[in-house]
Amino acid sequence: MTARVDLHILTCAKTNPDWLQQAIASADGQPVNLRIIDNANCPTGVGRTQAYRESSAEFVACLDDDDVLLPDAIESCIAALDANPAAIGDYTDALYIDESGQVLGPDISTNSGPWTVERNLTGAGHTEHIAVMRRSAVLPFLDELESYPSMEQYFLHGMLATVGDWIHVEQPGYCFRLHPDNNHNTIPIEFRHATRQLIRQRLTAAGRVAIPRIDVHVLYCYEPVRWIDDALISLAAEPVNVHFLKGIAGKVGLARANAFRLGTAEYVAFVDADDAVVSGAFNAALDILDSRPEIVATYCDVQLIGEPEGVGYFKAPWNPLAQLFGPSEVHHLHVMRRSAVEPHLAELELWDGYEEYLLMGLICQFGQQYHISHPWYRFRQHNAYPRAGAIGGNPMRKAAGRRILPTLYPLINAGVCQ
Amino acid sequence: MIDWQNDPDGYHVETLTTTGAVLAIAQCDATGPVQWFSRWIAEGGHANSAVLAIDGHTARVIQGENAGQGLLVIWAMMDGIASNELVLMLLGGGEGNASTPHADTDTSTPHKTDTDNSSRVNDCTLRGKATLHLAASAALSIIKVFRVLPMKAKATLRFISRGILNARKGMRAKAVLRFIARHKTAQPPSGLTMKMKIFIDPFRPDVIRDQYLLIWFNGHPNHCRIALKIDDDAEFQPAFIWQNPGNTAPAIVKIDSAEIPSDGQTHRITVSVWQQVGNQTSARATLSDFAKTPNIRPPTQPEWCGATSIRQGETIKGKVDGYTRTIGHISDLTRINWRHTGAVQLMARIPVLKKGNQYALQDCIIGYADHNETTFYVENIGEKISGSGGILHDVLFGVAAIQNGTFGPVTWANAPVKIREVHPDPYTPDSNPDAATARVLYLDWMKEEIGKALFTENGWTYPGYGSPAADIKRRDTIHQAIDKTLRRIKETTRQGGNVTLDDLGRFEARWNPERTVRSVGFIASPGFIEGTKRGIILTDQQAKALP
Repeated sequence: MTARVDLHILTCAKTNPDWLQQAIASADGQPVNLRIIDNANCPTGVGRTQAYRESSAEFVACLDDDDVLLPDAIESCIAALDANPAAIGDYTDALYIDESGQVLGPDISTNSGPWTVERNLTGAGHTEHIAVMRRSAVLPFLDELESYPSMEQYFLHGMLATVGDWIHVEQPGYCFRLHPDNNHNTIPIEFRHATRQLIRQRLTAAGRVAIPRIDVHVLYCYEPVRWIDDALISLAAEPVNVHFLKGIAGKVGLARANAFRLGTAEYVAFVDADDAVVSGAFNAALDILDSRPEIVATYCDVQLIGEPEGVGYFKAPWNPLAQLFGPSEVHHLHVMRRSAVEPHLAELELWDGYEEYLLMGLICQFGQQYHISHPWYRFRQHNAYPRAGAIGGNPMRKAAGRRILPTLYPLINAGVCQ
Repeated sequence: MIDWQNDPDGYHVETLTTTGAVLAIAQCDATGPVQWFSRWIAEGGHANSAVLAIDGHTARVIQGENAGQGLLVIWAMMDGIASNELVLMLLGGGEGNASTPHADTDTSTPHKTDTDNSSRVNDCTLRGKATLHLAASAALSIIKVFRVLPMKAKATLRFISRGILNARKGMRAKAVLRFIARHKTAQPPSGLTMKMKIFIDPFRPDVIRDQYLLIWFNGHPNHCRIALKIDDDAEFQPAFIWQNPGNTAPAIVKIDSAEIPSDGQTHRITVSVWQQVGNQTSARATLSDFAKTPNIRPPTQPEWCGATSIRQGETIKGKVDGYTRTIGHISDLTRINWRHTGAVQLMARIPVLKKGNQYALQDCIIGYADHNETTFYVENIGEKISGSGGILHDVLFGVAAIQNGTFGPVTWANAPVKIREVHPDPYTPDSNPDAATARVLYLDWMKEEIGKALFTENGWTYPGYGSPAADIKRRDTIHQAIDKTLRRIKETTRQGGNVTLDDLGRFEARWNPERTVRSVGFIASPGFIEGTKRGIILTDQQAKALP
């Protein structure tokens, strides 16, 4: 046990002996002390914690039982850490392989260029393959790590980012095996979301990322998990607190009012669970709202998911007449002042449809809307399930129009517009 | 006073149905004669989408042909005084209407709505003969006053003249404008909103850099009074700065004295604004908000820190390629001890060589230790100093507590440790395996080499100064052949084509996806690739035949 890196592999009942042999063989010749730990019937966090606690080398790392290290990966990581004593760990790029070991192409999770702290917000794989960490940096987080049945690496890497910097070693050092049944993504989405939020909270407390200024809620009801995950991932690196909630079927106004009450951030917003946002969307809204107190909310243009760039809904500058007659005009990625929204939440609870149209109208008593002319919002067009906007029909449309007409007509009459 | 029959507060929404349908009914409670007016604000529908059918004190809104969406605003005139306005929002969707949103233009000017041709008169000049039996009356009524400053108004002037024209003569009349302003009670400012701004030092979360209150409302700050109350303390009227004078948007007011205590608690801030004009005082508009300052926790700090030098570093020099070069160094080693019950971050304050051979102190993180560790060995600090003279420098070590994801103040060692600077960049020989054979060849030299090879193969003498003209011509012909070969490749490629040279590769023109930029590419042939890999010259055929 003289090598500088303690490397471990956790095995379980599903471990494929052939792949395990390939993983072990790939560590041969690397400067590691390899340890195979039988972690059957235990959560992954327990096995990892045991491995790290019982390690004694300067650095620690882990290799999945179905993956493969590439030559020189560990040496390169050690060299990078030696050259940067302040860094807490480093990671290489990875290649995808299929079950037969055929290389499918690069794993683009790590992207190119230096590490940034936002990488630890967006995804588990972004600093993971292969990652070499200073043992002294890992130890303070082991008690918490033990409680993670999965996503333990994502959690640990995020925690390390609270106390130091990672280094991206830009060379392939790892082969990640893809499986047809995609058993890497069977973790419940609520758990994934909670882990992301915890990492953001810790990074915020450590001063590594800015304090989120917007409470964004995502209500889900009928959406496929893949779509929901895309929506949440698109929000992960944005300067927002994400409140991920189960919707109330048929009571969208009540669900939204409950969601708006969560958090204490200065601004509130929501994103549909089948849509997504473009990176930078919320900063664009904050730029407007911070500089112009007379603006009560912003919204933007829309790009359709799966369509060529430029295909979507591109709107004119805001005017209250178009808002009054077009329920989808002032729509998509509203970022609103909380102070303007909260007075209307009790009323919002009563609306099972047109609740968004209603709220957008009512908050105009506190200021103007502002249209940001850029497709920051990505909208998924589908017929997979009924949309909330169709609930209520013409009677509710009339009732909502009647409710906001007294607010918008004075603006129309006075010629107020963007 | 007028109102809708079934919607008393002046607003009504209806869906378009069929031409001639009664969409809404307005009623007037006046006892005298009434004139009805309307204007149309289009959102797709034309100006006759809805028309008024007048019956004394009742006006019915009738759906016109091919009606579309829009707002119909109606009001009445009684004794030259305008009534309140009623607003009807017409939504598309029914039969017999042409609701085409965004397809029409705004027709928001007042227009005639009934058979009384006195309801609107345009400016004009009448010419004709007249005897001076002239009776004239005019009424100017303010029909709308906006709640912004300065006051603006719209008015309709009705001018009626009756007489007998006997001769052509310009007709003139004097009009007396009578301005009737009703003095109502002062109203509290509308749209009051507030925002407490607290700016925290991003590097020291316990330090508040600035805090102030921003409020905005519809009104003139100089005609208003502002009162502030923090929690249950006594209310006071603070000094304020009007941020946007001369602007008709809501007035923004900044109150610097609105500070809340720095105790980590949530505080209620209540602001009241009221109008104070002359001896008139309006009711108050009052709003409350909550804010808090950071929760300052007493930072923990390690009790003690000490550092001991164990080994000094040394720059190692040696002869390489006949030169004395720095070929490496032995790193220094220092032991750091501390007393603290939690995890710590280890720091070093190092003199780092900057431009102009000046040293500047720089704090850097050198590691982390767990709660049960009290010793840390740090290596190679001398390399960070970056000097090459082998001088001993003072380096200070310290530890900071890790607490709640943040770092406390650094406890520095009582005395610095002397550490020798070492040269950080040892000479490393070229690691290229082809270092012995690799060359850089340019076109002119390549032409010379090819020319000399051909001359040798043919038994000719390569020309120099004073050589026969025949030899010079041979040499130039070889050079020209190479030039023309290259030029032909470029000529073909610039025209969008490609040139395939067996055993070498293909030169080709490429376009970007937008078809706006042409570029050149080269794809090496299999023989070229495999030959380069193996270090031999191969044809494509030979390369394919290889195992």
